[in-house]
Amino acid sequence: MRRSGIHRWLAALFALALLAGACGGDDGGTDEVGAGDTETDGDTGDAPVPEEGEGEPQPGGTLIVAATSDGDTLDPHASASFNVHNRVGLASSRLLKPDLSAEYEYGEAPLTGDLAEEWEVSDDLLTYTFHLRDDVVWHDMAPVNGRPFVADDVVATFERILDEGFQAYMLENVTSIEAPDEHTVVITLSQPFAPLLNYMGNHHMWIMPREGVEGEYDVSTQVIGTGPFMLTEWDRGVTTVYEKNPDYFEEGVPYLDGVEMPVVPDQGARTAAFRAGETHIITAVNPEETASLLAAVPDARHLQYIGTAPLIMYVNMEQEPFNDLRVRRAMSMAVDREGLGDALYGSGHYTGPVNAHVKAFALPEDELAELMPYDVEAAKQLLADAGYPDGFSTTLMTTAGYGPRIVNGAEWVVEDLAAIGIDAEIEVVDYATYIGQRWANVEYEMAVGLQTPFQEADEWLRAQHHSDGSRNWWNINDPELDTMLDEQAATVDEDERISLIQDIQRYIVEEVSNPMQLWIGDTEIILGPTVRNYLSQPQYGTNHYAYVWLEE
Amino acid sequence: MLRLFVRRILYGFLILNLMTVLLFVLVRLVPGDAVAIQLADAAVSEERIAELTAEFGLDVPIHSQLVDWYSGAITGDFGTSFSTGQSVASMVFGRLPLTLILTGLSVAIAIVLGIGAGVTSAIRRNGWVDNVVRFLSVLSLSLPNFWLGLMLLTITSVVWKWVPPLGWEGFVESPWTSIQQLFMPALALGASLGASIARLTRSSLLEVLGSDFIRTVRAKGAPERVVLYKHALRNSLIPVITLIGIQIGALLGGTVILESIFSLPGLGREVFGALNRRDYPVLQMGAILYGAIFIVVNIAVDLSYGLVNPRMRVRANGGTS
Repeated sequence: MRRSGIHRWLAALFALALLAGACGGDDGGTDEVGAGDTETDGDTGDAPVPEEGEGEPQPGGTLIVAATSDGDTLDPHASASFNVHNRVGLASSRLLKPDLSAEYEYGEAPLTGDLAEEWEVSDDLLTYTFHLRDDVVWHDMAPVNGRPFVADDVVATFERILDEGFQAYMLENVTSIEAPDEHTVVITLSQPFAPLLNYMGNHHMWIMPREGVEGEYDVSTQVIGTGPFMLTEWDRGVTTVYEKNPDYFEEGVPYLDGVEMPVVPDQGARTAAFRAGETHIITAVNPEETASLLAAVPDARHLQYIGTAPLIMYVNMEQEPFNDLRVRRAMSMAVDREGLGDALYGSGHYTGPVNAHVKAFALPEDELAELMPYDVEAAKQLLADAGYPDGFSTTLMTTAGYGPRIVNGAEWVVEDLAAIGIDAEIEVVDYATYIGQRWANVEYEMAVGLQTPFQEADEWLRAQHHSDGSRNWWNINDPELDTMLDEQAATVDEDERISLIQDIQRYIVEEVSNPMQLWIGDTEIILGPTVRNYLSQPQYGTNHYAYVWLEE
Repeated sequence: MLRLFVRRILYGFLILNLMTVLLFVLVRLVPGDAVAIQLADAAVSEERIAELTAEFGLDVPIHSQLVDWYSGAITGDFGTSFSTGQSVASMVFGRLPLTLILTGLSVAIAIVLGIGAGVTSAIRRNGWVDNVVRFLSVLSLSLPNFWLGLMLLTITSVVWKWVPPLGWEGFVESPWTSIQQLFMPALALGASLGASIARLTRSSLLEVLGSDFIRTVRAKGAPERVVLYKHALRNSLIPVITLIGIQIGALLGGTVILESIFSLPGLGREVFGALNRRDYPVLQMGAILYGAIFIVVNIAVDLSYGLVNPRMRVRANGGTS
């Protein structure tokens, strides 16, 4: 069989990846938060319960984590990149955040208070009131100089977002943001907006002081926040250095004296640095490297989390023959997802229109496996019914910008499609052309790539599948689907929304079949022998470093 | 000599301008624009995209963009980076010294190793030293520099649990740290140039040693040292200098990948990043600098012939123009 050939190819290419360096998604991430109790959460202000078997917390030490690349700016409203938000997030806080206690599985953490202590939603679902902590001060850095954090800072930040932030869509339907007193923020909506609370805990929603909003210091090169660490040095492309925030509002943390994130762009160099003990944590490793690193560093620990950026195959629905649902279903059925996942990632899961790490909203894996069968005969039949008994020829676009693994995925797809008579020729384009031109402007016939690790179900569904959706980069235009998508966005009741969202996903897989989710591989992280209490959730911001300690 | 120099400078300036215009147009014809890339990770609105496009000045025709760019450049304002919002000049000039030091160091290593090995090899022609040198030089010519760099890094990390310190602090600020950080990439980068130099020095030296004037020098009873270093080596270095001049361009190209492997914040990595983000102003400035370095090196090579070989000085002054 050809498969074993591919296997050998993959092994060779993984070895090559060592040389070429892989593309980035650091600590992966996204956070989906079950959230949404209209009543308060209460009880905040204590560090999450440490994991069992981790021993007693030990203060001190500097955690060194090699970053794959650097951000271009530290302005959290100018870029959505994980590079920016990982760096800003360690020094900042949000109104809400995922609860990092060890009891919650990865991807299942509910929302808890960060800067907000309690919050209520009015009966008409149009007014959200956040009661803020009164014991928070900004980092002691000019020009803010450690003054107390107040509601006006939240108002200033959100107004800046509405004015110029890429994340303005997270404040959809918001008509006013007010601060009736120093520790209360009231957000008023024109119509109910179900994702709002989740967005308040989103890893793009860091609160900055009014001084920053008004330009008293340069927010593109400096971070002043209320987070567990203070960003003391940002040398772009070289390193980011943090010191412990002695005035952090959570008792007893952070344990570390500091954090450093030197930029080490090359995967081989990151591996070498971890082996030599220069860094404590290595992310974005593939299974082969994991095995060799675990053998080389005896007490290192291996963590495996569900990934956040699924592998997708997609087609331009305005072009023949892809405008025919039968053709799209046939293509989806032609792909051996389990074989692909095993060969490419050696791990992972089926995933649906809402990626599997958003556990509250995603469809169960069993159901997805049924919805996405591997059935070559049925696929051939569907193609014949659509008028293509002998298949057709097409061009499959992909990019090397995500690393060699994705190109291998495209090669796998080509072979599977050939089995039903579709002759696809691969066109590899550079990443900037891929994402900045061809994908965004729907200038392709079909393609294989990764989807961005979004957090909220609305980003996975309405943005990508609504005829007006900002990420509808596949020409979907289905009025029935539009209605369903609008309805879930206005349905605040958690259970009701989950049920609507799951129905939408079934509809998308069966009646739209585009983009077609192929697989979600696992994210592999290796912790050095001294790293303790690593409480990760799928989100940018790395604020779980607040609870990490280093064993002597 | 002076006339040659002035003419070269003028040509260089002309070439630099042609390159600037060509590049300015070409990068804008390549698909993918800075705004879309910057906002690719978010579900952002059309209005915001239009706003940013206007902010970057990308909403006017290319020729107006070029005029804008030139009118700024004349006053020393090379624009603002699309992605960082910082001044392009400060970004690019800040990265330049590291790349120059890295290139310089690798040329120095290549010259010392290459000429040393070449001369030894020529003197001990067909002896075992010669064979070893010839084998090693073919080997280093065949190994890509990034592979060599990565192997050096991996071997030291496995065998000695050591890698160069992370985080570039600047050559002036901490020279010892910088030398540790630069030595391996410079060696990897200089290896193939060193090998070429060794081979060329060997053959060129052998040729000169076999020529009539060397026989005359020997006949006059000059000691072998004088024959070798004063007469033969000096004459055989002319092709070697040409080689170095041509190869510096390739070395500059090599810095891009070695800077990535060794986590060095140099010009190569900056410009490569700018290319991936379609950050046109940074790309433009970086390319101009590379072009300028290339032109300067070529002029320097031309002039250095005169230093090594006085006959060239005469010819240049003789006005063969």
